[in-house]
Amino acid sequence: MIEYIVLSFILISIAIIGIITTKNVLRILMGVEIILNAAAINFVAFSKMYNVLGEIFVLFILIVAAAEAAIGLSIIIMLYKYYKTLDLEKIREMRW
Amino acid sequence: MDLIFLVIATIATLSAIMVFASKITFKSGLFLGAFMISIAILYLKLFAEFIAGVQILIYVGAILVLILFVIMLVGKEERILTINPLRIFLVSIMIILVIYSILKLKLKTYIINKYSIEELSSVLFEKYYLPFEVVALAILAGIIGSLFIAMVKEVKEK
Repeated sequence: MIEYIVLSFILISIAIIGIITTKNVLRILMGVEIILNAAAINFVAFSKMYNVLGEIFVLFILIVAAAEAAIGLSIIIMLYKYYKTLDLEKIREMRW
Repeated sequence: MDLIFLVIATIATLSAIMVFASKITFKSGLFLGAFMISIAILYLKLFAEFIAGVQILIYVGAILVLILFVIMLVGKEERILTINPLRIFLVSIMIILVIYSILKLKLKTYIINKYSIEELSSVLFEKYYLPFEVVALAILAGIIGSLFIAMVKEVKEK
């Protein structure tokens, strides 16, 4: 059904625009979760037209997203311990 | 394209916008929770009830709780960014063009409307058993890795 694909595109574009304009690292992580969820709804919408493979892939997306969120959050905690701030304008050591 | 889908899709879109547009970080975390629950309702509407249940359990129940914990540890407020009308105009034109080209796709207009858990389990545990085990090992590696990253005894102050 085509409205799910349009919805998935709108959500991914909102999340990408949000990721590249925010300064807070936690909002970037939340935007990545929005992207993963929007791609998952796209997979399930296509899966319901053909066969069940899309749902299986969505299960794998869910598990990998959980692992990635855990690692990302531990990196953010170490970032906060080292820099004492989470402002991306101030964390500039790896930029040009 | 019926009324329930329009309401839930509007809730999902507004929640996704408010994740980035609210000043307080904890509120944006709660809007992320509302977004995930509305995506789970859309899964129910697509007759994928197992995915909806797993989404609520894992995404809302584990990932969102972890994100809220870290927000409460390192809370920060942020000003809303300035609005540039030219950028909004160009981005909206691109979005309208892509939506127009999506609507020209010729997709099937019916969905398989029966609950799919038997078929999903039979295919997952017979044909795709190896990726299932590999993904379980991957999340185990993720847990051990995140412990190892955050287990430093003292952090050299910058």
